[in-house]
Amino acid sequence: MISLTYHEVVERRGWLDEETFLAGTTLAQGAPGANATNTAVFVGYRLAGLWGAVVALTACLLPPLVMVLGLGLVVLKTSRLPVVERIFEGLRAGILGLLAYLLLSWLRPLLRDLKGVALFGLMLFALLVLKWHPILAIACGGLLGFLSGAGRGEGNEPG
Amino acid sequence: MNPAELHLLFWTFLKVGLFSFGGGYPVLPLIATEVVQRHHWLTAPRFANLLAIAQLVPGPVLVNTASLVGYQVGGFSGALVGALGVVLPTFIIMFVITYYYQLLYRHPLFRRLIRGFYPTLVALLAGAAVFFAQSSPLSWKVVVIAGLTCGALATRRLNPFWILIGAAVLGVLL
Repeated sequence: MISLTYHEVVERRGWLDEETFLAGTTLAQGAPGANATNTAVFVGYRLAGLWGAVVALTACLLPPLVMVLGLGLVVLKTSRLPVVERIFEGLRAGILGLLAYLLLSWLRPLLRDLKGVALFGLMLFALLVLKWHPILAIACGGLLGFLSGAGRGEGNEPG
Repeated sequence: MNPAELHLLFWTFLKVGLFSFGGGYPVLPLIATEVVQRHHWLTAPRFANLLAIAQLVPGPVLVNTASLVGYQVGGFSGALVGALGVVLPTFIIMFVITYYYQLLYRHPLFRRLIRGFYPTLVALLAGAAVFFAQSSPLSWKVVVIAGLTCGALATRRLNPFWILIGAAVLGVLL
């Protein structure tokens, strides 16, 4: 997704130079929200101000919204069929595999930082055993990470 | 659906959007807590099905999930309200960040903040994996499909979309 955006915005249209785009994607990853929509807001604002940001975000969201609603309607009507339930059984298992893969690749840069591993373990314990609300974990974990300087090895954030 | 419930849907996803650090899957435990445990809008397996669709359709998983949950709760207006709720806070925050981007981008404190979030994001991602593992009974079939999917992704040669289609086909065949 980011590489496609890079190709369109930097290489093909020449709207932004490479360094500005890189700054935008870094900030988009750090801010709350999806990378794609955050990057759209950044690019849109740099090009045409407030309305540029609004237009870029809307254009980025409209196609998926239409597709999601179309698919949602079909699934809602057919979800009682046994074959559809089997399809979803496979898909849920597939997403579980996807999450396992993501988790392994996110853990790798973390392992280079002992404080980061400790904070990861602490937050996992808080979420799964103490059943903390995720917002509490985000607030406490973010603050602890900021204060302790925990994190990960250098390099781009995966995913 | 009545306006009061639509209102609740909007505020719930506004809250989700405000704390949606990490973009996609790390936000999943937060959405599940609000949508499944707190408001009982969906059962856990039903919610897991919606996430599978959100992943298959192009576009950000976070926004797709919000519109799908909204659709299930309140039809078309629910979908719009859910998507708008989750996007609005991220738009405002990213807008401010873009305005000050030259100041922020190189600032060591901002970098430290982003870095410091990382261990918590990985823990939230692990929480998402646990949610999915618990959303349906862990049979040998689930383990085989999940293992094959993980292995296929690790080769980095195949498009994740087709890998998931393969998982769906295996779900029917096995």
